[in-house]
Amino acid sequence: MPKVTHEDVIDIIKKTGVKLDWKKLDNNESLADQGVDSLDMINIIFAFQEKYGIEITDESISDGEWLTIDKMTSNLKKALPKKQEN
Amino acid sequence: MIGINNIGCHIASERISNFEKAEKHGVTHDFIMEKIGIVSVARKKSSEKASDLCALAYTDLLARLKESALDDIEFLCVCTQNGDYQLPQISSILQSKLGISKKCAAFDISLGCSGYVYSLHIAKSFMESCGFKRGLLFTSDPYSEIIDLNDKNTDLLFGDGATATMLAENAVFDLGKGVFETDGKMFEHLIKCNNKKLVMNGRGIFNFAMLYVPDVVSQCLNANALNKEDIDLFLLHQASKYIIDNLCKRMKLDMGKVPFLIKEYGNTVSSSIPIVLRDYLSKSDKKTILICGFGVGLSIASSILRRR
Repeated sequence: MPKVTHEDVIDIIKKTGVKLDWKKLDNNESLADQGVDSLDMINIIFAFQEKYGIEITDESISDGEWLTIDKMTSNLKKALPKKQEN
Repeated sequence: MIGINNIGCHIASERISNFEKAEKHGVTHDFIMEKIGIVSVARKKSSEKASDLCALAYTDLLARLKESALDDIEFLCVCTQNGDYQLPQISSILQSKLGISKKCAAFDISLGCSGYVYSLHIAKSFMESCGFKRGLLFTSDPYSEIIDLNDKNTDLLFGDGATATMLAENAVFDLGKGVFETDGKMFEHLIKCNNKKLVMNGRGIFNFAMLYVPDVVSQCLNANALNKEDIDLFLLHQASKYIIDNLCKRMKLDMGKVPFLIKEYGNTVSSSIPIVLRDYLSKSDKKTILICGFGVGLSIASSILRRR
């Protein structure tokens, strides 16, 4: 399993300039509930795609697979081997 | 050589406040101010058609030219995807409505937000190849006719406006080399199917802008042997504040060189660049302007304007 940590994910999110209360960040709570709006979410997903060279589908987003830091980290771990196979 | 001589514009006078629609669309006032960057959208009267908006832009152009009529126009084209009718082309309707000579080439160009840059190049080439001296390029895409008022992605964004650009040999700006790209795989991100309303996938448009605009802008600078520092103004399609802010960040541009001026009237599609450009025609310190339009298609076009 490739190494993608919470810290990696948080670092990418920070670089997008999204405003969050980083001290109170909860990895299991949806980012939307922690104040991230829909446009910032688009920006965050774009940053993941660009950083890891992967495709993230609209369906997986609407299915709630990218709502929390935990889910993001886990999905990035899963997506990377698939990319390496291709 | 044919270039931009002057620009007239018309922005629909009625304004619909986005703040009054915030609750309906489930967005905050901060989101409207800081992300969309548009506090109200311009709406035409329901009886007005695209050609009526063009005629009003033409009236503004005449006032700026200090002329009461133009009797030597040999070329007239309209960039629109929301013409008065499915057919005929509105350039013909406009030729008659404005009293332009019958000895005038007239056609429409079907493009969205990249349309002004494309149309400038088409018009210049067409006019020069035919030896024409004066022509008119219009943009008019009244999206209020195709917006779903319950769709926050578009209802808070698009406004109605039109422009009329005078193209002539005695120009203020000459046109440099253009760079054009198309990603037809992404066409469904901004689409209006028959008998349905406009649908926009905001994520698709954002991704397209972030991936394509910096690259095409860079290619355009190279094609014209320019550096970023040579550009006095980066006039990007006025999509939304969020897109402009992120493009500035991504391209490391000085935000003071990248205007975003649609707060009061919204994204006017192919009219967004010429409406803003109109205000810079008389600002002689802006000698070299990069223009870049991107959207429907998905399509992108960038070029350089050099002050004579």
